[in-house]
Amino acid sequence: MTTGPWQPLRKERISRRSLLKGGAGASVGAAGLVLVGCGDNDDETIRELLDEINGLEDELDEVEVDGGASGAGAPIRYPRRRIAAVSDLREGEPLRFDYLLVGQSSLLIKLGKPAAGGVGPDGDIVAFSELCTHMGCPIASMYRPDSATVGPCAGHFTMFDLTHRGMVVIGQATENLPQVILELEGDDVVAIGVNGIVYGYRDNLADGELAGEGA
Amino acid sequence: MATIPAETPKIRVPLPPTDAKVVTTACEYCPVACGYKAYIWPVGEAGGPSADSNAQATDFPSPVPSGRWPSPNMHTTVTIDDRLQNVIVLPNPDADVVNVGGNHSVRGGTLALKLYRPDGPTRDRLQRPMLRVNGTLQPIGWEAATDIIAQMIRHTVDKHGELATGFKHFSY
Repeated sequence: MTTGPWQPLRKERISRRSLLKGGAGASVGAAGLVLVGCGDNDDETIRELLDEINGLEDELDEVEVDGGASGAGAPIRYPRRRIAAVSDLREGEPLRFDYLLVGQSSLLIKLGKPAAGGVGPDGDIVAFSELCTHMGCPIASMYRPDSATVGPCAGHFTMFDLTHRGMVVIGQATENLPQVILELEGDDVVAIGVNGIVYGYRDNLADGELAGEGA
Repeated sequence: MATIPAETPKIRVPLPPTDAKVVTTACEYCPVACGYKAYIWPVGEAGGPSADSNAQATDFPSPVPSGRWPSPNMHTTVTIDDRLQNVIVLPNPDADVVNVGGNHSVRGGTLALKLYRPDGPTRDRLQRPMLRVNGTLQPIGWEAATDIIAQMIRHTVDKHGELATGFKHFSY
């Protein structure tokens, strides 16, 4: 367990978990919803939460947004979307898809090397927003299979490491590249959330229409 | 390994309402001093996504590339006059030198994070002048602090000459 600024995250996760357990029966809590804003580096916690949620209700009808005005820390639930089949993916050949909203263009990539948050038999299937978090330039065409990075961005040279949750390797951006949280459903790769805010948005679910399924 | 000490990741960033206080400022991380604008308004209030409903006069989602997006690390909350306030520090879109067009470095882009928060990474910041007396730091007043500094400089210049003086300052 790391120390310092990360410690409050653990407390935060526990309190949200308790909140969800206590309140989900009486509220909407639907299958296909995921709690994010829980902190980086902890897909297990998210999966535990998913299991709890999925045990409570059946279908997703609407997106529930439940947040405070300060912008920090409130629970939000993102819809599940099937993106592609594992068997459709070729190593080093990204597929583009929109998630969560139309225009929030993302990349699904089989990196060929294990990655944090990676799914699939080799733990190497990941997905990220394709907009640089510095000034919003599209960087999809700058994927570099040799190093599993994207960049340098044509704008101001920011590079992101896709094996380390979109961490900024070099450049000007103040945020990691937002990572689409994935899980497998049989042979299907399913998006269940986003870690980070997509460039240009005040909220990943505001000011647009939900995208459909598929790449 | 995060490049920036992270608090709880944000899932949204509030936009400044049209009546937000706006001040121009300059980044102090390097001598270039790029231009920024700080937007300050009470927690609980927020502007809307249309250009006429927020102080940035920007439609959201903001255009790409534009440098008009308040990223999560450009936002913080601070206490001013006993009231919790949102603060966003963005590149000044009106700047006509250096960082034109909303450009910023990773340092200038995170200026908001250096503001003092008792519950954040800046909690260890000195809040008053301190004087080391017999090996222990003790709080003193500003008048006493500046008097001591002046006398130390006077003493050093008189005894060793102007080239013996120097300043070291530190900023987050």
